[in-house]
Amino acid sequence: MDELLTNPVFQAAVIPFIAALVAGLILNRLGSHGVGVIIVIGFLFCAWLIVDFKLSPLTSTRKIILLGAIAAFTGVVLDIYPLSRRYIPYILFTTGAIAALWIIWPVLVRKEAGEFWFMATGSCIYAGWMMVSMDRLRIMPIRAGSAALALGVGTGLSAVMGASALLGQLGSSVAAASGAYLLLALFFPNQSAGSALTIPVAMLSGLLGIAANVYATLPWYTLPLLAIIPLLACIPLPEHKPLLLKMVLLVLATMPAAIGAIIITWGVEGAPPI
Amino acid sequence: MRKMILGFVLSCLPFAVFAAKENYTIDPLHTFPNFTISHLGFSTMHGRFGNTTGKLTMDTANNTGSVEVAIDATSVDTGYKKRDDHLRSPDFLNATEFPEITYKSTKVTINGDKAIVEGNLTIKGVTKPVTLDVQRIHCGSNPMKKEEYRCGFDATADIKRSNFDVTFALPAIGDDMRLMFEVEAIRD
Repeated sequence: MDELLTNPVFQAAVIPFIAALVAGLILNRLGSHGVGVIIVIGFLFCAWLIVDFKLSPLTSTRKIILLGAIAAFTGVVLDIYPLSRRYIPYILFTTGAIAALWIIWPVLVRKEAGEFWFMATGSCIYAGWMMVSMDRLRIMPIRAGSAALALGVGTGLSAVMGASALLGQLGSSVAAASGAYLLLALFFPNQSAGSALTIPVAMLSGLLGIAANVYATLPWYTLPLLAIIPLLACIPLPEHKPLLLKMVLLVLATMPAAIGAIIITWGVEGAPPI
Repeated sequence: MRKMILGFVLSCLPFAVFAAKENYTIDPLHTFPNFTISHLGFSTMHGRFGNTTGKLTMDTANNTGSVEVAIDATSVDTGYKKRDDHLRSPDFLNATEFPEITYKSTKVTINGDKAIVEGNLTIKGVTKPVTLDVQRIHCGSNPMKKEEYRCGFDATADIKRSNFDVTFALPAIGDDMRLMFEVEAIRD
């Protein structure tokens, strides 16, 4: 059993998938809103296996895990007590930007002015954009799930190529849990996504991408490719076609950007050192 | 007269102590922390850090001293760039976030050409006590540069990387690490 629990594929794919699936089955049976929270549940199982939930020392990776959990909680609260939509995009963008600054602050403070502003601005825009663009998908469960899957695959595998298996595993767990979410959607067509899916997925994908760039060697120009995934998830779909077909079309639409990011990173950085 | 002699001796005492305690600056060109670690149980991998700075004091009169060393974590080198990038990443040293590995002695006991150095090693922001076993202490003038006086020694310590929050890929990649320091320092 110990051998299984220390196996990277088991930690980053099998366990998050099973955890999300079981949580999703329970929440769907209860007829609960915000089933999208199961993605972060899968992620947290992976985080527990590979990093533990210690908060000291508070490294960038632990900050990301903490923010993922807080984002999920915030998403659930927003689903239960919706706020006026008017200011939500601004609040989300600012939250993402502040979170990004917190993650990279130990590096930023050592940078010269030019590099400081370049890194700070780029990171804030990327994290903020992820929050706002994913939020648009909260009422479109299949689109949100497909975007989460592509973001998880793209961020996770790019991070592995970019010399951080740890960040890669965390990203991949988002993909695995998103796979469980999409699978459940086939059996529970009314399954909701909500802010419980979009806020934590956006927060985690944004911050993992930034961390892989700043703390490992993920090339910065893969991030714009990952950033268009939420847009690709908005492609027009045939109205009266089966759910499975819509799902396949969405995965086909979003996955090229993720695969592009992986191929670029592989081209620049080469295969991971095993 | 006795009081005068005693007074003279007492007034000279601080100078005598000062003379016995010498300050040294680490020579980064001849100081390299090395490490070994088991790779998946198949072989023992060797690596080193290229940039080290620090200060030593040697109090030969009292057989003690102090050590304060800062190692540039980004200078890790195993002879393979991709692996070095991985070692610098958050998986292992997280060198961008924690660019320095430091060691600061708390107690030094010199015994001839050997010494035991007790102190605190900090990796990734985690500080743990580590004892260095110092061998072959040798001090003297540099044969290539007579006016320069230097001391050198070899030191070893065994640590568990998991104690320093470096837990990635345990237990496949070994937990036990041997640290080996080749140190030279120039008298100030």
